[in-house]
Amino acid sequence: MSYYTVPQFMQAAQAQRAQLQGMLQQVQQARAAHQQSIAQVQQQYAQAANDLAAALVPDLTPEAIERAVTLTGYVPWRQASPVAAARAEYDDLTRRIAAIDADPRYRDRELLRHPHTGSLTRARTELLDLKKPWDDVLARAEHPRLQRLLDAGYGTPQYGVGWWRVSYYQDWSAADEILARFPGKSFPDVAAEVARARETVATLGGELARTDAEIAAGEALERDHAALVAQRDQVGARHLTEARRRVVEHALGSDPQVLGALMAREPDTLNLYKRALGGAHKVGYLDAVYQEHVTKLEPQLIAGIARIDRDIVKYSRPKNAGARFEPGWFQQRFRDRSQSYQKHWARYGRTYQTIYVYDRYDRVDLLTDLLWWDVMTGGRYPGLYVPEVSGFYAGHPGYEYVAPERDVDLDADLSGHAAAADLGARDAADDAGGANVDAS
Amino acid sequence: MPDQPGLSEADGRAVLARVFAAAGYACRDDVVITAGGASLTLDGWDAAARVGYEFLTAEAHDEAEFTPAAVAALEERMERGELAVLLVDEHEALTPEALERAATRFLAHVKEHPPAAAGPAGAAGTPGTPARGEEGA
Repeated sequence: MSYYTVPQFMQAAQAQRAQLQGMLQQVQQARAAHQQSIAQVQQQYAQAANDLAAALVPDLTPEAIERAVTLTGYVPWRQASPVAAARAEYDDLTRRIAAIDADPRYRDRELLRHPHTGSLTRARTELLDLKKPWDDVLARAEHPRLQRLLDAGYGTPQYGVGWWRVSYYQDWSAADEILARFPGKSFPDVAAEVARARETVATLGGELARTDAEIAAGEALERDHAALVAQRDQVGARHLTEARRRVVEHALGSDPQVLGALMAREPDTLNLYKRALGGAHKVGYLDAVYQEHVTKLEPQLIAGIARIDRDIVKYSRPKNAGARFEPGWFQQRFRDRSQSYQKHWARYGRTYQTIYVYDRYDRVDLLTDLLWWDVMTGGRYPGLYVPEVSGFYAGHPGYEYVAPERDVDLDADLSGHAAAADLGARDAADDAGGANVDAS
Repeated sequence: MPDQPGLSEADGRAVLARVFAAAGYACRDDVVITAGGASLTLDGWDAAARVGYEFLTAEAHDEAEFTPAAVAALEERMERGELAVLLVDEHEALTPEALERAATRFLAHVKEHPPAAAGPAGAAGTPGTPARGEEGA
């Protein structure tokens, strides 16, 4: 028996490592491609749902709501119609707007608050004009020591600070600085003027504050009025949007057989429903296929590479230079995995692409037991790893998908993609688990 | 004019010493006088002119000596014209310039109303060491 040497081991390990690394790169590329595709499919689904919503509830009228109830069986609207809710909100807003309209603070807004001629505006200007000279007096008298001088009665017999105190001279300097701004006046004159100014400013300031409050209250009413009017303008649109959201949510969550029967009378709406329903399934399927074939594979590949790296380090040590490897073990360890890898990616590509390009929603018969997976894949690719699919099979013993004759067209379409009928059959046999690629 | 941080004891005394000296007073440092039976150590005191100054600061623990009663007694003597001591409270938050201006005005007042002894009012002390009993009653 001829044993393999360490150099042979190293060569085979490096080759296997390169293969796994290549596979890992494919995983990364597949991830980027999936993110792009799933975003597009989600957008298509959103558009389909919007189209369905607009078809089910074209406007917010009693007739439109009644038709939507008939088509979808959404009975809550029989008790609480969105039309009535919108009307009630509209009426409530109208009442509140009318109340503001009647409020003199709003009704007479031009008379009261016109920037030039409003009575409150003019009153405010007059108050400011009256107050200004007194503000000027206080500004001129402003000094850090002013209040102390006033309190001590500076310049009057009441002033009792001793001439030996430095504060006496500080007061003196401060009084000189203040009096310089009131030529010809004594400090008691200034003190009296400051007292009058303070009293007047307090009185006028109070009136000014009341006027400002009146103006502010009126302006707040104007803002409230504008907000309520804007809100009322949007009542219809808002209730229509909410009604559409509710009815589509109901439709997509209901039994397709029941909805299919209800909508049968309106084929165009039915087709929109099928498109939205199928779109929701498509998003889920693509994600499941990706998870099964790509997401699960990545850790296996990383673990395989790590194992090889450990072995390379191990057999690089001088003490292992003379190691020998039994041929059977060696050949099993480094067998060619390229075919297995190619098959894995081919299976992923066929399944993903077949679902991705599916757009024959109008051909779906909702009245039969419907498994969208089979509809989209033509029943060629088992998808037991998808919970919905395995659940369906469990709930329908003996179920077997029979492709309608018209799916001949579908076959022709699919032949242009990675999938082919014979490959599909082979995949069925392999499908125990998409990610069971040999990365050992 | 916003309040400014007050002068330190040392800086304030330096300003006062300079202004009093410029006005011709020969002040000695840390001289003890008596007022109302209490001994008060003045920062500067010209015994001959009976003129001096005291910069009252917490830094120098002046509150222990210059109690309200002692200050009242001192002020009483100044009202009687027996002596003239410029009392500077650190809480006045003076600048050096403001202190100089105040001292100058104080000395102008003293010049117009010079103190005169009424009985044993003032006494020379020993710089740096409180004198004792110079003022006796």
